[in-house]
Amino acid sequence: MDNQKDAKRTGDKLKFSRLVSNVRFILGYAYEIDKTAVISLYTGYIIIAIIFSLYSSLFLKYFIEMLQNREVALAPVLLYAAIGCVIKIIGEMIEGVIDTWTKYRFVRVTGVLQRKLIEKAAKIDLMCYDNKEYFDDFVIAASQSEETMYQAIYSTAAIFSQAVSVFLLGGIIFTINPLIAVFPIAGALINFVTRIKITQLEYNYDMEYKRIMRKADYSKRVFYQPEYAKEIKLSNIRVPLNRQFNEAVEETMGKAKAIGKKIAILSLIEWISVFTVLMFFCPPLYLGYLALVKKSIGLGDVVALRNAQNNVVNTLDGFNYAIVYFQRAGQFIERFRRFIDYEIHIEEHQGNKIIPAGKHVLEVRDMSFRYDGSEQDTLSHINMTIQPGEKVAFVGENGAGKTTFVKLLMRLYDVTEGSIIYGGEDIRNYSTKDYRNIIGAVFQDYQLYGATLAENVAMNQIKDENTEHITKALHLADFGNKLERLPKGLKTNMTREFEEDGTMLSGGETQKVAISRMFAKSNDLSIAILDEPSSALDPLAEYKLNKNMMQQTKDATVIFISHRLSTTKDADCIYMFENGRIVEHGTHDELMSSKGAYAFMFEKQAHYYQDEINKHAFMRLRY
Amino acid sequence: MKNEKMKMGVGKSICYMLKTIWDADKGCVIYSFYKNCTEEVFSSFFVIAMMQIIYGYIENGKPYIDLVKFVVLFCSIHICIHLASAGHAYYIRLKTPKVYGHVFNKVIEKATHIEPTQYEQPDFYDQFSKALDECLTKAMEGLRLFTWAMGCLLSTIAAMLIVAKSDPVMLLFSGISVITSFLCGNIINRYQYQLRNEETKDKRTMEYIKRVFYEKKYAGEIRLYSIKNLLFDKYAKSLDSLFGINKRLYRKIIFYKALQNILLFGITCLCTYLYVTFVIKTTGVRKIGMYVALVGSIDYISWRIKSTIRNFVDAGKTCVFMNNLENFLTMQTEEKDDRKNVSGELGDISIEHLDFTYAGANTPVIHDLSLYIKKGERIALVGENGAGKTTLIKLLMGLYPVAKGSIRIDGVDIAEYNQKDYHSHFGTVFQDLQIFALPLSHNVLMKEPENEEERQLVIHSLEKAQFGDTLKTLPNGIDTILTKEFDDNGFVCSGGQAQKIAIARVFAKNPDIVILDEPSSALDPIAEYNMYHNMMQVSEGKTVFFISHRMSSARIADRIFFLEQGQVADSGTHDELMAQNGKYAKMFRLQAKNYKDNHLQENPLSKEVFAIE
Repeated sequence: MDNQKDAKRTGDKLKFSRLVSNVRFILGYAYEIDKTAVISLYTGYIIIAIIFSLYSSLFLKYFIEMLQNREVALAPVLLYAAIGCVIKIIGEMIEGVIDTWTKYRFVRVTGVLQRKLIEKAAKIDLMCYDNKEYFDDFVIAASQSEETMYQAIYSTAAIFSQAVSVFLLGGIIFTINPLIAVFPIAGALINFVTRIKITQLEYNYDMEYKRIMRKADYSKRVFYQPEYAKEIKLSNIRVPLNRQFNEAVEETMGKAKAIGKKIAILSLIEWISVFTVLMFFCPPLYLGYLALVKKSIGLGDVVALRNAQNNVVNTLDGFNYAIVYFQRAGQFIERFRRFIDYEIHIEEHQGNKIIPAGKHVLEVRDMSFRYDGSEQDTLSHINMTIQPGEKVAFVGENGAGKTTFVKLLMRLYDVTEGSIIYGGEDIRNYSTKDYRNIIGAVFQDYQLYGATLAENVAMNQIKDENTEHITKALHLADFGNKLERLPKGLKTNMTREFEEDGTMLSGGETQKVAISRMFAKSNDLSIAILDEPSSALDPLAEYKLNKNMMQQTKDATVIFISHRLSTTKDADCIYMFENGRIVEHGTHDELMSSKGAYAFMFEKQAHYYQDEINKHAFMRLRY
Repeated sequence: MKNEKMKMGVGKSICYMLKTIWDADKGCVIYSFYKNCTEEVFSSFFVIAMMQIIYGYIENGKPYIDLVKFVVLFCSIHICIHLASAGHAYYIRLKTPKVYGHVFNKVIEKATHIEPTQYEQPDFYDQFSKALDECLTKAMEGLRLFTWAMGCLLSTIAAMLIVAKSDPVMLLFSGISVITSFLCGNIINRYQYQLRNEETKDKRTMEYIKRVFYEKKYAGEIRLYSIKNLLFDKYAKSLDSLFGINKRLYRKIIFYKALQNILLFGITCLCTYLYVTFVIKTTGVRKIGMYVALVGSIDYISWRIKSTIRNFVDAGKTCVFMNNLENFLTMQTEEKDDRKNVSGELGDISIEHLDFTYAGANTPVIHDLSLYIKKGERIALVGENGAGKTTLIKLLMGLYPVAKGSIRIDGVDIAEYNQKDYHSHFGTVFQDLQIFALPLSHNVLMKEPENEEERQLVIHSLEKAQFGDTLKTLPNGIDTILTKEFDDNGFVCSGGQAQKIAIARVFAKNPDIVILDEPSSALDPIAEYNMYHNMMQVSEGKTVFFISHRMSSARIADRIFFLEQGQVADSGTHDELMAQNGKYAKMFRLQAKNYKDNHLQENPLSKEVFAIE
């Protein structure tokens, strides 16, 4: 966290060496994926640079001299011109081929890079997703890495080839007249200094712009998220949201004014000095002076020098763009390089103990947990022992820490203090993968994936045709009726993201599919965790679910979170959470007779049903 | 044919881009045209005419002072152009947010007038976000590219004129460039269009999978199940297929690209050199300076033609995104709402033979449904998922148009009312209620409080909604910013607190009809109990609709409608329905069983009751 904040603070002033190292880092990846493409691109660019530089300077110089020299006959000049042009044509051809060829090769390069990144994303610790700053900074950055890779590769290729050009042209200028080299060199220096300064200003503005526009983006987001639609439609909340947006726009205009002036002045200095004075003013005057007053050089030299120096300036212009892209790429890579370098603690953990077969005791010993950057424990000093096959319920108010706790049990996070023990070993001694294999879970924020229904239940590829257990699981989750109505049955595609014929399920139906995952896995499970599994279900479906759940997971441990205390009532043990602590535990009857927080909660909820009973009872008594 | 159509579309998109920016800020358009055209045309003069003249001076040994005068003149013009460019860059930077704001406001304005049924279309939000996301950057980029392309075109013409003036024969050579680049360019564009079409599906698949791995909501399941392997596989397959498509089409594109370059730059250049050599060597004209400058200018013209075409194509590609905006803004909306306002309060509701089918669905969600509700009744709607409860409410609120049957309030068909005004008579608490990153007061009033009276109303409403204790702990009171979205000191409310704020909204609005959509399903029992308690207060004397999965809440209703397959299967008070022993009773018992069982052990009184039952 601290490290990351430091990095952020220095983010806009990355050292040049770090930028280079960042770009080299990403080039390493590209090289690893497609050596031929990378090497061809660099070689191609350099060959093109050499051909074009020579063509515009030396070739032209000798051509003019041959034209001026009356002793040279027509044929040799024609031959000379033809050879020169053929070489140039080869250069043009290489340029056309290399640009397009690398474009399609890089489709694969960036695709493979992104695949490596998502593989990493699937493994980085869940913690990274919880910290907003961290998440924006490195997860989002990684998702946009393709563009950066393009920038890094093309800008470096351009820089290299331009350096070659400048070197060559500089050499030619020097051999003819060293003094004229002063102009492009001075130009290059001024250019470099102002460009760096301008890029920096641009970057600062970008940062400011992004910061201010967060407000505007929020308003924008609210408007196109379906969950806000009703509220927006039915009220006038759009007025303040709109105002907030407009204020952000106003503020950016203020910033643009301040920074824009500076940039405009710097640009003017750059353009006038480099492009007007050093390109169109001094060189013609100096060359004219040499040719007309001193009579020391001829037209051929003038043209060659003029072209060479012109080319140097043009190259510098290209260099400007390349440097901007280079800098941008370097800065951007900095953000997701940490993502790649991130050392995975939990997900790839191999462990030194083999997970015992069969079902075992799950024990939590004096366990505390605190989110990164948080000032207080989310869970503190939790103790519990769950016997194999026990049905356990976690109840408590929203925000009491129940969901965090089950995530710890799944080892999506690691405990801050204390330990979680399964089969007599700290779960941190097992390989994470093996440990999670014995767990089935229905999450509070269950999702469907862009795959077939069967795959969404099995949560894996369906290799054999034997899908009986999947159909059965769906029936157990009360999805049977819907399944019969799906024309393509288990092969129906979920989501319409990229399949035209995809199906959109309702909230309740989606939850049923999520629950069926558990049933499909039930044979191998030793711990089943359900976080509010019936929140979107109607009572009938909930009833069926509960019944099936209990039957199917006979000897597995079942841990479930529910707000409906009627559901949790039959649990072997109920744990009541309050502010990250367990305040009570025991069976329903024990808790009811102790008349603590649980009894209070239960009474509240049962209120209406009990009232009903009492009313009937009184009626009976009366008549 | 298809290609033609696409080109027409591109032209239209470019016009639309220009029109959009013109409406937002005329200066942007004018300045961009001015800057790009002058800059590019002058660059032709610099590169060709200036060199021609200078080389001519040197070749013919003119006095040095003439050269100096000439160079000074040209450089002064050059500086003027720089000034214009710097001014332009500054101006565009300044006005870009303004253009953004303009587009945003137009889209939002439109969004609020779109038929609510449109919102239910699965791709609506996709379209919405496309309209907003890309359009600003794409519009400004499109303007830059288009004006630049225009500048390049003018500069090509200028260069050609200069060349024609010196030696018209040389124009022939640039003629080769024009023709080849058009022919090759056309073929290349066709392949690229084909490429874009073919790769869409794979690209979308890859984008989707990427999103799954980077979005937080998927993170837990991804780690616990092995679905990731399946997704990696799909990604790999799509990447292979994408690469295959690119490989196949790029092979052709490469050929034409190389051909284009060879013809455009190579052949023209070869011809020019040979011609110049021939002219000078055979006629002995002493105009080497001029011709050398011309050789350069032929290269220059080829290069300009290439940039003209590239910029036009890029501008077109960029502006195609504007179609999203146009499609969105021309989406069909409800006509101008000049219907009448509700006079007084909304009273008795009568629904007759109502039918409703969602677009694209085969079976109706609501089927031949009739009911009558008196003002001030508390109505519970119960039934299984998909029985039509939410749809009925949406129809009642006028969010969907009634196609068959009627909904009347006090004898007036609700379709006759002005929507905005009609909505203002409803107070709603949705299950997925939302808190906005705005001050608390805005969140309650759903607008800015305009005077002290309204501020007091906010405070009272919050107190009535039992938020008073929390309010006291907030240092900035009702001006506290909610959520940490942009204020690190913002107040993040718990689910229960959010619900209280939503209830306060209803208090502040004081509506005629209150709608509670599954109000308790995300709440813990204590919060749920409090919530019902609070709701009873809001609804004093008002017509109230509850939609709930928990039968317990239905009990407090004056009347319960049990919906099944879009029809009222049972209706009556709780006691009546229990006595009828129909579907409602069955469902209620099922749910109450657990609570009752418990009670049996403690309360001998009810044991007896059950014995009798």
